[in-house]
Order: sequence, then C-alpha cells, then structure tokens
Amino acid sequence: MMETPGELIRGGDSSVILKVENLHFRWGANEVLKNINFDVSGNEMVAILGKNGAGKTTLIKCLNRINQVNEGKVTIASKDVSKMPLLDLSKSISYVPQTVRTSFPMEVFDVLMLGRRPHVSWRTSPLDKDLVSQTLRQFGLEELAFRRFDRLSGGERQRVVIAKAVVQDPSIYLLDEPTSDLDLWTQLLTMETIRDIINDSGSGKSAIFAIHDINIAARYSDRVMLLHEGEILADGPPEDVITRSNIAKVFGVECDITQATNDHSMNVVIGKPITKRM
Amino acid sequence: MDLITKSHIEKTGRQIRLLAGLLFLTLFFALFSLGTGSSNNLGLVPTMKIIFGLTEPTGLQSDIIWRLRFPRVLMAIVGGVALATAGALMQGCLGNPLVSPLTLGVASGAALGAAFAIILDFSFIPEVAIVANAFLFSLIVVGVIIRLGSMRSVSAESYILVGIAITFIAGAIVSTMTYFATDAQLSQLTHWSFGSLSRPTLTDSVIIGFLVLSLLPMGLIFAWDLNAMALGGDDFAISTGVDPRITRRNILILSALLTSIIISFTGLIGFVGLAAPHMSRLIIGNDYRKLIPCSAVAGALLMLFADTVGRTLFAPVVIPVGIMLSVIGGPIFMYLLMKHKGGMGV
Repeated sequence: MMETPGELIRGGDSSVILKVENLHFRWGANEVLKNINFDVSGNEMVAILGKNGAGKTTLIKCLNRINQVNEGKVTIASKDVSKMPLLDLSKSISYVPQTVRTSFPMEVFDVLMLGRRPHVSWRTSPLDKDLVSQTLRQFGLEELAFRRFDRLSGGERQRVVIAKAVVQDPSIYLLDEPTSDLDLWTQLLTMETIRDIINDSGSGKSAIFAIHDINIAARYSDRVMLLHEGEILADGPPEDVITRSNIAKVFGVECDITQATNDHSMNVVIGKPITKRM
Repeated sequence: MDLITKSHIEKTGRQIRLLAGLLFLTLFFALFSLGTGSSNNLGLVPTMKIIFGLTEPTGLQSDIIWRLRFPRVLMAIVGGVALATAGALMQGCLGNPLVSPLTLGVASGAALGAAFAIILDFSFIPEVAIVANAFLFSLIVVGVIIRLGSMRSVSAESYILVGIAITFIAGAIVSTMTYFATDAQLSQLTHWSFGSLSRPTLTDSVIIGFLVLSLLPMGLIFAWDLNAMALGGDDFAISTGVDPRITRRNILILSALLTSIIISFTGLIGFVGLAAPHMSRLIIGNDYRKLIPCSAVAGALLMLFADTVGRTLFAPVVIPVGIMLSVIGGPIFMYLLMKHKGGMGV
C-alpha cells in the first residue's frame, strides 16, 4: 500500500491561489501576528514551523475568517476572504483543527458527510454518499464507517476530520498539526495521501500545514515558512529555511542536517537544547 | 454502488421505517388515550368510530371525547412535539447535552409572569391574565437572547450562564411575592407550576397546534447547521460554512418561542425537552435531519403516555402531567442512560 515516502514531485505551478498582504492580528494589546505577507500557488504544500505561541494556529485561523484580522487582506482567487459569503468560502477552503471533541453520538460516515454541507442544500445524493465512501477508503477508515466518532481514539478522530476536509473538496487545505495524534506509519500515510490529492488536482489545490516535526515538514513541503514571535523569519524551499542557524535561533536546539544524494530529501538529526530555558 | 454507501442507505431506510413505526404508535396511543379516562372507558374501536364519525355518540360521550379529552390529547401531542424539538435544537446549537428548554430562563420568565397575574393581580390582558402574562414575560427572555446574540463575542456558555442568572433573578422575585401572598394565591401559583394539560380549551389547543406546526419546519432548515455545531464547536462550524453566532441566535429564538407558547398555557413542563431528544439519539442517531422529527414524535408519545397514566392511575384524581413525566420518564431515562453507559454523551 505504501510507496517509499519521500519520492515526491515538487509542484512548480505559479498560479497564485491564496494571497496574504500586510496581515496584522491582535488579541487585545498583544500583537500576535505582525505584517505577514505571502502567496500560495496551486499544487504547493507549505509547512509552517515555529515554537509554541509563535502564532501558527492564529495565522491559519486568520486565513479562513475564524479569526477576524485587524489589518491587511487575505484573498482567495482574487476574492477578499472577509467579504465572501461563508458558504462560498467553505467551498474554497477547509480547515482541520488540532482536535475535535464532541458530546454527541455522531457516526463517522455522517461526520464526513458534513464536508458536503457547503455543496448540498438539504438532501444528499448517491454521488455525495459515494464520495464519502471513497474518501473513507482512501484514508483506510472503511472499518470505522458506522462507528461513533466520540468513541474513537485521538488518532482515528484526527484522520476522520482530515477525511471530512477532503470530502469538502476545497482548493486550499488548512491543516493544524494534522499528524500530532498519529503513529509513525499513519503520519506518513496521511501526509502521502494529502500530497497525492494535491498532485492529482493538477494545479487546482494547495495545502498549508502547521507542524512540529521538522522532518515531516522537510519531506512533504515545497516551501517552509518559519514563524518567530509573530513574524515570518524565513520563507522558501525546505533546504534553504531548515538550516542549523535557523533551528538554533527559533527553537534553541542544536541539529545536524544531512542531504540524501539520490533525491531531494533531507534529514534533520536533532541534538541538544542550547540553553536550559528559553 | 459502493458497499459502504449501500449499507448507509440501508441503515437510513431502517431508521425511517423506525420513525414511521414510532409515529404510528403515537397516533394509536392518542386514540387509546381518547377512549380512556376516569369515566366512560370506551375501548379503542368505539372511540375510533366516534372520532371518524362512523357512530353517532351520545351527548355525554360527545362531550367527554370532544370537549374534555380531545383538547387534552391534542395539547399533549403539540406540547411534547414543541418542547422536545426545542430541547433537541438547543442541545445541538449550544453543543451541550445537559441543556433543556428550561435552561434559557424562558420558563422562569413565564413563572414570573404567572406570579404577577396571580399574586399582584397585574396583567396586560385581564381576561386571560395568567396565559398572557406568562407569554409576555417569557418574551422578555427572548428579547434578552436577541440582545445577547447581537454581541460579537458571545459564546454558547454565555447563553447558558445568562439563562441561569435569569432563573435566579426571576426565582427571587417570585419568592418575594409569595412571601406576601395569601393561601389561595399560593395554592394557585403552585398548581400553575405543576404543569397541566387540563387548562387549554379546544380552541386554545388548535391555535397552539397551528403555531407549533408552522414553526417546526424552521427547525428542520437548521438541521445541517446543527450537525456541524453539535460536532465540533464554532471553529469547525465556520470551516463547514456555518456562521455559529447568527445560527445559534436564530435557533435559540425559535426554541424559546416554541417553549413559551406551550409553557404559557400548561405551566412548567421541563423533563420531556431533556429526555426525548436523548432517547431519540439512541433510536436514530445524531443526524439532525432525522433527529428533529424523531424527537418531536418521541416527545409527543412521552407526554401522551405520562398524561394518560396521570389521569387514570388514581382516577378520578388527575395528577398533573409535569409530575407524571418526571415520575415515569425519569426512571426510563435513567435506565436508558445506564444501559448505554455514557451513550447519550452525558
């Protein structure tokens, strides 16, 4: 089922899907995000790296209007996100939160069906149901189809919510630590599946994901954005951004970086913390 | 067709048949209830014949069935439908399984209105003082909900907390009034708070029926939004295309209206709004497109059952439905809870 992870085709289309200009976001007096600017093109996977509290989740939530930005503009396919009807916005962008908890007994199939909500009025067609069934298979969740979501493990829930985002069929995926609850094999499988979905779309889709695992970021992204104290410290191909000095500056950790000769993949070997406290 | 799709369609079919069965059972029980009472037990077939105009009833039979029992049975159905639907809607949009139609403070507002009418003899429409006061005072609470909903950063918890605050405030004012009340007034207020189906006349219950029937489809319109809000909270709802703030406000206004229409006429009836939605979740799952109709039917059945037992058990003494609901529904509810340990998400 699994090819060797790492053999991936880097996307190179230049059509801009998402554009962020001069974005500022404040919680009260605390300026969480300062002057953020970047573009995301079709067929691009962008990893956001940064330590706890750097503003990764806040940034992701600014992109789909969960957080209302104080200054600046986010546009999707040249349309201002703040002026789009929410239902239209949810057709172009789908967001996977870090964790989803519920107090109600909802079945996994119905959770995925929520992804069709922006596309259907009230009734769902057999086509919608087939799409849900296929996506369940794509993520290896067919055994869980009629299990209760609230009784799944954290990792299972995480995959279900990612699959729901896929059923929504957006052009941009926003994933907040999509692999945080997954075991090693499932982490790679999930990232491969997302990579495949982005690649199969031609240049119509892209993904932005916040992540703590530097090696996952390096392996599955075309671009890495390093967020530090609310600002973008570096933005570029993984090999340019994930460097000894950047890792030391942002995370306060020593590391060695090895480059594989046969392909583009790189490995980050984590060393010791440089200081005891940051 | 995909195998998973096929089993989902089969499952939906089973659920719809189950819902149809429940509806049939409710109608059947309604007929039974019409024929049963403290006097003149008619039996099912004669009752049906009279209802459908096949037999000419005697004057006494006609009076008992059409003037006494029919408004009562209709009110039980309509009240059960409205309160259970309101409960299901509120639990979903507040993402909280502990919520019932009484949580928002609508009922406390109604009780305050009733107390004003009974103790202070203060009312807007003297002819129907208690009903009018209860309804208008509960509308004040609806107004608070609307006001709260227009604030930017209002969360699901804010509504619950404000509801609790309203309950305390209204309760304190009612207590103060009862302190000065006469025995007759006290007894009238206590009777009001029991919750009874004997007050509405035939005209009342038909009008209430039409009102509830016209509000119900609005609940169904929100079914998808409720699915999203019940599952993952506000962030998840937004990313699914639902504005949680506006949707929540609209759903709460609808639920509060449903609740106040019923409670103004019947007095305090709470339990059905908590229990019927949870029982329905066990039967049909949490998809609000099916849960709302199922809760409505389950609510009607629960009310009918409680009221029928209440007026036959110690006949000719009639025990108010509000009491019977808790006495009968409570143990059933607890049994289901324990059988499905945590199964209702509580």
